[in-house]
Formats: sequence, C-alpha cells, structure tokens
Amino acid sequence: MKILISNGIDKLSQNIGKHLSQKHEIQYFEDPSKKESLKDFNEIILTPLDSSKKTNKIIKNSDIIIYQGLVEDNKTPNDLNNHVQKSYNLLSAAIETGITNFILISSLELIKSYDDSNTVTETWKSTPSTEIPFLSGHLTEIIFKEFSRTFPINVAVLRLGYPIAYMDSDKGGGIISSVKIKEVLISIERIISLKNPKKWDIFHLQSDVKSKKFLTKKTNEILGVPIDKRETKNEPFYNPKLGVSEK
Amino acid sequence: MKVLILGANGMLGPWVSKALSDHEIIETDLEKIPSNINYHKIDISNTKDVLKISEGVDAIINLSVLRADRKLAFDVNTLGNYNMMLAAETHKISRIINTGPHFQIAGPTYEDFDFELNPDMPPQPGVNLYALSKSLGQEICNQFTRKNDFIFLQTLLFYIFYDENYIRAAENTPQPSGSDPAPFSVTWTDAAEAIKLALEIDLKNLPSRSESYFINSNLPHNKFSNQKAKNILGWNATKDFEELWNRKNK
Repeated sequence: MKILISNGIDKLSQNIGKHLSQKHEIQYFEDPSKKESLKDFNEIILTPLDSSKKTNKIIKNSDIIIYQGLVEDNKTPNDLNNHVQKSYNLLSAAIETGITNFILISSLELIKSYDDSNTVTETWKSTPSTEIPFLSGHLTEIIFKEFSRTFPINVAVLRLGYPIAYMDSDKGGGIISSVKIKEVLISIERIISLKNPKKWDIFHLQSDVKSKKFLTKKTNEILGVPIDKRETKNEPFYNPKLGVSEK
Repeated sequence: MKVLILGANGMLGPWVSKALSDHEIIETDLEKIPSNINYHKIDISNTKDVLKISEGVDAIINLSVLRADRKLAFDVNTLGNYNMMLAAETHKISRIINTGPHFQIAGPTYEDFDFELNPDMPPQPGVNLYALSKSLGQEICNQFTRKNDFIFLQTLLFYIFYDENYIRAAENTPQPSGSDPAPFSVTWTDAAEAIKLALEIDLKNLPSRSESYFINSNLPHNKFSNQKAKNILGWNATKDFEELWNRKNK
C-alpha cells in the first residue's frame, strides 16, 4: 500500500514510517515552516495543505493517510487556526481524489480530566483543556468525524497514552498513562490490516502498567494490543457491509 | 450594560444595535457604516485587538460571520470565537452571546431526515465550510465555558431573515404569497429582539451556563422547534409568515 504520513520530521511519524516501510511504500509530508529541519530528512514533501489543487495532487493515489491530530508544537491561536484549516483542506482534497482510509493519531490527553478512578473508555466524551495543542487536537477529531459521517470513508482514531516511551528503558513506561512506541506501531499495523474497518472507530491505547489510567479492552480485543503477540482479530458481530460479498 | 458587538456591520448588526439602544454599545467590524455610533475597527481574527477592545465590557455579542472563503471562514468563524472566549476569560466577562446558522447543529444528517429538531441535539454540521467552521467555533466556546465557571454562554441560531414585507435577505422583491418560506425563517426585528432578551435575562434564570436556542418563526411544518427560546427567553415571533405558507392568502 501507499501510505502518506503527516508531520514528516516528527519523531513519532518517523517511527511509524520506518516500521511500516517494511511492507508498504511510505511518503511523508511536512509544513514548509519546518524547511530548515529538512536537511536531515530525505524525500519529504513540503506542503502548507492549503485549499489549492496542489494539495489534491500531493495526496492522490494514496491508499491510507496517517495524520497527527494533536501537535504539541501548536502554541498560538494562529497555530490552532492553521491546524484546523489544514485538517479541513486535507480531508476535502482526499474526498475529491477518492481516498477512503485514514488513521488519525490523537491523544488520551483529550480525556484526561476524568478522575483516575473512572473507567474511561472510547465511549466517554472528550473534555479537553483550552490549551492550544489539546483544543486543536479535539477540533481535528470533530472535523474527521464530520467527514466520516458525510462520506463513505473509514477513519480509525488512535488515541495514544502519554508520554510515549521510545526506549524500553524510558522512564515514561512507568507513568499510569504512558504507552510504548512498540505498541503504537503494532496498533497502526493492525488497523491497516483490518478487513472490515468501520466508518468511525476510536481506539484507546496505553501500556499495561500498574494502576493504568485508561481502559483499553476494545483495543486489546480488536487489535490485540497491548498483548502484542496476538494475531489481528476482526469484529466479532456480523453486520452487512456494502459490496463485500464473497463468491 | 456596556456591550461589545463583534461583527456589528453585517446584515443583522444594525437591527441589534437599534434594539439595544438602552445600552452602551461598542460596535466593531472591518468597515464603518453610516449608522455606527461608537465604532471601532476590529478584525475578530486579531487576538490582540479583540483582547484590548473587550476590556471593561459587561457582555460580548458575536455577530461576525464569513461563509465563502476557505481561509477567511476559519479566521472569522473559528479563530474569532477563540479570541472572544480568551477575552471573556482574561477580563472575567460573564455574558457571552454567540450566533450562528442553525445547521452548525442541525446539518444535513438531521435536516434531510427529521422533524422537531431542537438546539440541544449533538451537533452534526457536516462538512459545509460555513456550518463546520462555525460549529468548531461553538465547540471552542463550549470548552472555555466549561472551564470558567463565571462564563454564561448563550448561542442564538438563525438562518434566513426577512423584513416585514417578506423581502428575503439579499433580495429586492417580496417573496410571493403562497410560495412557502424557507424552513428556518425569522424577521430581522424578531431576531434582534431575541438577542436583546438573551442579553438582559437574569443569569440565575438560565438552566445551565451554556444554552442554545433556535430563533425561528412559528411555522406549521414543525421542522425546527423554537420552544426553548419561548420557555427560557420569553421570546416569541411576532410575524408568523402565514401569507407565505397558507395558499388561501394567495
């Protein structure tokens, strides 16, 4: 598959791309404001994701787009505004060019205000703070949701624990909301391999640490994560799916 | 009250200013118009300017809107709301009145299918630029209101405006009798009266710190319910549009 990944120079995006490149063709894109950092990275497309047809041209022929909804670099009101505009423009271009599969990387920080004792799952309402990164991440989820509601596309929202532990020795591994990068990569790989993806599906992912803050039963059952040796398991209940009849 | 109106020189603004003549009004917009009394040039997408002009006011009414341009729509409808709410938070302004189109809540997935739609439904704006950028702005208002327990947010939702002679906004001639009004319609004067009532309501009479209302006339098809505006604001439409929806009048 040809997979397009946003925030190309970001550490998480690079990890995802590197992992998926074993089986897929990867293309990154990045905002032109990061041009100075690009000397360390090869073959990243610079795009402001504006409303021009250039955006359509960049993304066409992709099978899946992996997009980061919560970007910690977003600090100002204008950053928030730019981020929601980019998200809208990307999805508009994707619809116009016939792309139907998306993975939105989001964060469990959007629902962290609930007490640690609460059984917070994918069915709980987001209650983000008004800090710019979280608010823009929340609004990006809404934009994806409305496109999913309107068009025949599939959006998997992967809300990641925080912080992400990039090394096995990383101290983040002991925090009650943290997630290991290995679990993130396996989750994405398994979302891509789902045979009957839903139009809108939220997955909460954090590591199985002591007193973990968020429940991850759904992610565990459907994706087999964080128990990472399990094979991918599809949805257990039958639902008719348009145009998937087997001979 | 000292009231800041953002987007005061749009189509609805002059009607609102007229209805609020008992209050001290600060009118802001990008361009001045002859009827302005206390005008300040403010671009709602400019955070610094909105923060500055908001200092010391008792209430903010946001009438700003931009529908067509991909970038400007977000600048005004989304970032503009962020700036307004940041000003409310910074200057401890309790009364916030936001406005928008009914389909920032009742988008096609509701309107194309159902009846008795009401303003407390979960928003389904769809992907229309105007509806979605406004709905995102509303969500920003909601999160700031949730965070700050001194803020009382009221959102009044409109769509098509008519004058007393049934001349529809942006048109020159009256709509013919018996031709059915737009499903979500109200007159300019009734719309402005609803905003006045929202501004002047005793905050203790609001059921919660965030309330939304559909401001539309009493149309017999009952597509959209204005009951909440009647119950809480004590508002009612003075014009029922019967000349348009009843063919006996033709």
